[in-house]
Amino acid sequence: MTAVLPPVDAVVDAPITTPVMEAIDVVKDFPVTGGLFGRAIGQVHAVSGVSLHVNRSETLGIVGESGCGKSTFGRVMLRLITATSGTVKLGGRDTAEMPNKELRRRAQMVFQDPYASLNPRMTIGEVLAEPFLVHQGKKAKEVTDEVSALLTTVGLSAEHRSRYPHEFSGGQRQRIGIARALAVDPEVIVLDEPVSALDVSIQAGVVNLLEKLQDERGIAYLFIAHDLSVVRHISDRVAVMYLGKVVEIGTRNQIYDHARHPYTNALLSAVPIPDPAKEKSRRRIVLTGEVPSPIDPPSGCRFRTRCWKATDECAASEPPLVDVAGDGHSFACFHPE
Amino acid sequence: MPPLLQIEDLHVGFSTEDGVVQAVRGVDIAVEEGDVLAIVGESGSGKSVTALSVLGLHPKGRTTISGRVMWGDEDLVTASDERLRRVRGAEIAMIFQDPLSALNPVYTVGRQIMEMVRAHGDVSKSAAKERAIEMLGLVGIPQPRKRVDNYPHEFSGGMRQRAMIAMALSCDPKLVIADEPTTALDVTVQAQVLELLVDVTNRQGAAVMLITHDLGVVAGMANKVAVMYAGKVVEQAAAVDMFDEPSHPYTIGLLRSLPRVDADGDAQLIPIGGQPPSMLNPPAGCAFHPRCPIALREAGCDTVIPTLYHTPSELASGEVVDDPIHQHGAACWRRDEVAELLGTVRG
Repeated sequence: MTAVLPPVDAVVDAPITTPVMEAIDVVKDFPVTGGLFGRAIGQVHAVSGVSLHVNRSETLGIVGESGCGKSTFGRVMLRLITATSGTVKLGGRDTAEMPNKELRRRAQMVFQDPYASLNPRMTIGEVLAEPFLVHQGKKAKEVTDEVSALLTTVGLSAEHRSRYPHEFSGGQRQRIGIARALAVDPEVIVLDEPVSALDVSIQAGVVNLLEKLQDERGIAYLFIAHDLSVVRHISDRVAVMYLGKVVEIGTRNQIYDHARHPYTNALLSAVPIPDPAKEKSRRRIVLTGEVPSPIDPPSGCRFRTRCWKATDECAASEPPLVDVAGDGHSFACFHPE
Repeated sequence: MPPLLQIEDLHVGFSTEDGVVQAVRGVDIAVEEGDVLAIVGESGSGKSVTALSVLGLHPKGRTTISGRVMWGDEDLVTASDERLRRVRGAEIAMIFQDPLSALNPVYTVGRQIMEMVRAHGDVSKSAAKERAIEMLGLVGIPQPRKRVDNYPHEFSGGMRQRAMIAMALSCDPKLVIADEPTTALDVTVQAQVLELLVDVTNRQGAAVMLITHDLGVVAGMANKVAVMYAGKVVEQAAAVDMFDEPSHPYTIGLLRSLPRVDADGDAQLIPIGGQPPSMLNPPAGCAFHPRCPIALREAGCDTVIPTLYHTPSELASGEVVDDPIHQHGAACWRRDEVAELLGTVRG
């Protein structure tokens, strides 16, 4: 009997760099409580076995509609929520064995609403000094230069130090949120809908800032958003989530120009394009029905209840997420486009 | 034929502790029968305030309104409360962004539609219920006879917005004002709801005034568009013309800063510099001048307020028109230089 060896090329092409951050079969269930004693009567399967990675200097976009589990996944990655099962690795090491302080120094988060994530009673200078006090044991007086440098880096001015969060506009607050994440010089930043609360003219500036910071510092971004246009602009690779699972993942062009999963195609066809001629001539895939409950997801492929290509096979077994062509483009579908 | 609705020199101010917020500062907009007119702008541009003024929905006491909102022969700004109540719903209906807060959680969806129908006509309870069922069916709610007795929380977000559309159209209004009707919805649901809105209003012969910040939605839905900035209309045109030849630096700025799903991701986004102005004390002259890349003191940008200019223009049909409603206007003193700026969008 001869063992089947992988072709030599495949071995050579295998990535030799360790991903900055990696999720391996991450699962997060939330208990649903009810009844007299508030016992668990069910589970919300928010994230159901997600595996992906992000490299240095790379942006991985995670898109999906409300309830697909993208935000929960982002929080699980940073251990803001504990995973039910699965592993999250940071620089090749399991974060479950990492002290909180180390994890927070190496991986940071930027939230959608910067106002809610900034303490209204602290000046911006105090907010930005805090990471240095916590992680480097310095005194507030010793870090004024660092704080000024951070403010300049994100396009604000050092004079803004003594102001309070309410004195800033939405775009400026998001820049402060980014500055705070940068303070510890992290390897990876999880950004959860970082620009969706901003007007488009302001949003563009924040997106450009994120791109510039990545070029300069090689930070990896996990960019979670529902806006497919922004994600196309900022991402190197994109993962599409539906009901707790990644249904398709690939490079930006693979996803946007050569999508194989029916859900990805439906999603892309629904995004309005600011061009009347294109809008009128487009064929829109209209999905019927509603997103099923994550408490009791459909058997087999979770998208099958709304899919126009679904067959008995789709209900009987779950399509695995596979890279068919070996080009890094994986999709979970028995009947790809 | 006079337009269905004509807003003339509308000014709206709100008194606050810090002074008067000049939310709308002289807006002229006309909606004709069959129109889907989009009012686009960013937060604080005055687009929603303009729409709410049509139905007199601003808090009395601290609001000052001047100008005219002509609905046929009558001015709704000076209309009595009693008259406005008759107009609301029956003649001009409104759809809000968040259907959950616009629907009463303790009454069934059907009852709320019935209430609307019965408030505006001498209709029996059973006939009103039949109308509610008919309308729910029309907006694509499955099993309307059963769902009519559901409460709002039993509907999904998309279905709630469908129910709002059903309610808005239940009295056959001539105009529907939709204020960011799909902003709270997921993109696949948004596509369905917008399509439905245009389809149903078309069938019922109602015009639509669509308030939105999304230029993609404008491109797909509207035949006319008004771009607002700092309480004024800065550009007004047929939708096709505005995308074809944006003529105000602000419109061009919006298009340049917009990431597009159909564009190669490497295209550069160009943000509009600076911040939107405070409407307590808007800049003199053209309110956009502090952020405008081609503003020029000699041209009067920072001292004199520009008006929407009008030159006869050719419609898509080939017809040449010389009345303001059908022209492509841009309120800019530097319109000759705008073409150059436009070159930078097209690259």
